[in-house]
Amino acid sequence: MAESMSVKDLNLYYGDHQALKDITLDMPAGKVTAFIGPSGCGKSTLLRCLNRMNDRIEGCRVEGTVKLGDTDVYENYDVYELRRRVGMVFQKPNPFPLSIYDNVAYGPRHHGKPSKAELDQIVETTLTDVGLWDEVKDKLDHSGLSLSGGQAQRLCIARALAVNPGVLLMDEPTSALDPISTGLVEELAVKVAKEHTVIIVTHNMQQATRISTKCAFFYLGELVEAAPTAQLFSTPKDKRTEDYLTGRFG
Amino acid sequence: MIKTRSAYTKQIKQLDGHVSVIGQAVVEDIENTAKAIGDGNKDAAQETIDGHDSFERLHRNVEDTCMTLMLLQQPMASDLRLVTASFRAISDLARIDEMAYETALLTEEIDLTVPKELADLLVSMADKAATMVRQAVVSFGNGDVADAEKVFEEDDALDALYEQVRVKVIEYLKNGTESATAAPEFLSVAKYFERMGDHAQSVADWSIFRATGSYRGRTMGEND
Repeated sequence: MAESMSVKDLNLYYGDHQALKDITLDMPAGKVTAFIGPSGCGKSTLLRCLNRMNDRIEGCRVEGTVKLGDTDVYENYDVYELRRRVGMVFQKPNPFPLSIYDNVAYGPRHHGKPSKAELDQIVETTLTDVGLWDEVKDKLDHSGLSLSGGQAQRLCIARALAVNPGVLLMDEPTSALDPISTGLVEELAVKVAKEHTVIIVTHNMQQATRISTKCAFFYLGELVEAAPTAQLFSTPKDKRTEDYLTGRFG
Repeated sequence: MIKTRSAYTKQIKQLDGHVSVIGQAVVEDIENTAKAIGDGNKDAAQETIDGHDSFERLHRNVEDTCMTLMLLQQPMASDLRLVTASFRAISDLARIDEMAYETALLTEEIDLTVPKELADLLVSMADKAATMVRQAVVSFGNGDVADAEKVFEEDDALDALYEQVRVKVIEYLKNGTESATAAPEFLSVAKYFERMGDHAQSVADWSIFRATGSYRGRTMGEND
């Protein structure tokens, strides 16, 4: 079931450098929320905070609250359970060097003890959901690394969805894909958001307008503005957003 | 065909200027019809007729510019509002100019200077319509919402003038005097001016949208 996420008064430091400054933002359940902004503005850093991917970065310090539903994920919360509930898809497709079947089955195997029949069902259902089943059903034992870029990214999305997360984080998931694969992944993001809240970082503003219902603009570690997407892209309230969207930055 | 961002910025600025030029041309054409009706000034009517083709070309060029900008540059924020509002506003301005052109043609065929009481009413309507269009176009350029709102306030007076023309035309038709033969044309021209006022309101609405992102009481994206 789709879950909401929120951050409040969030500050993040890499050593002495403050990468996020007093971020407060709600990401509604069952919707696609997009983060936009120039390189280095902190959008990917914030995304990684949402399932504590920054924890292992030396010198990284997080202050403030990050909530999944009503639960503060930085307060005595099991990080493995967190990453089951908050999945992630990266910029570059990164299938495990395992079979297509095992890529999808990897999560369910580690988060429960499903029977072979249950696992088969999960694999088929999830690959069908991402529109990959018909393409791979006859070669499930082939390596995930044998797939094309677009197929591999959809396999990674399937791998994340197989454990039924409440939230799916996507960090520029289509920047390495051709337009057709990009279109498929965008369709998928909108489709799965009903059951798995999608939070996406993108440099492609048209992508943000196409798929998100809420959009947040970041600049120099600050959340400048967050609004319904059509509103943000037509009538931004802050001059920095206006300048960024119209290409008159700096 | 524009591609680079600097060329884009230049073209956006030019678009703003083109809407203003088209708006001024429309105002002049309405004023010419007033001169043709009020003073029987054939030269004024001819000026509007002669300029019609070049106006059409300018209108189409601005339409093409808007389409090209949307296709190649996907403008956003205030640029998006400028391009979409311009695209719609010039369409309204073109409709107004078409009616001014039709009126100018009519003045070539029929003497609309008599009866004077009807001609005076039409001149008043033309003046009012020209004022409304001028206000709408100026507000489009300077983003002054209060100026744009005034256009809506003016429309009641234009409607009242149309009603006066309609009543007079009926009187002429009932009385069957010599003037009755041109009465339908007077009513047609009055209807043109009345509709010019409606289109001027539409331009004012696009001015407000361009300035604020809201139109007809609704803001883009509020239903998301």
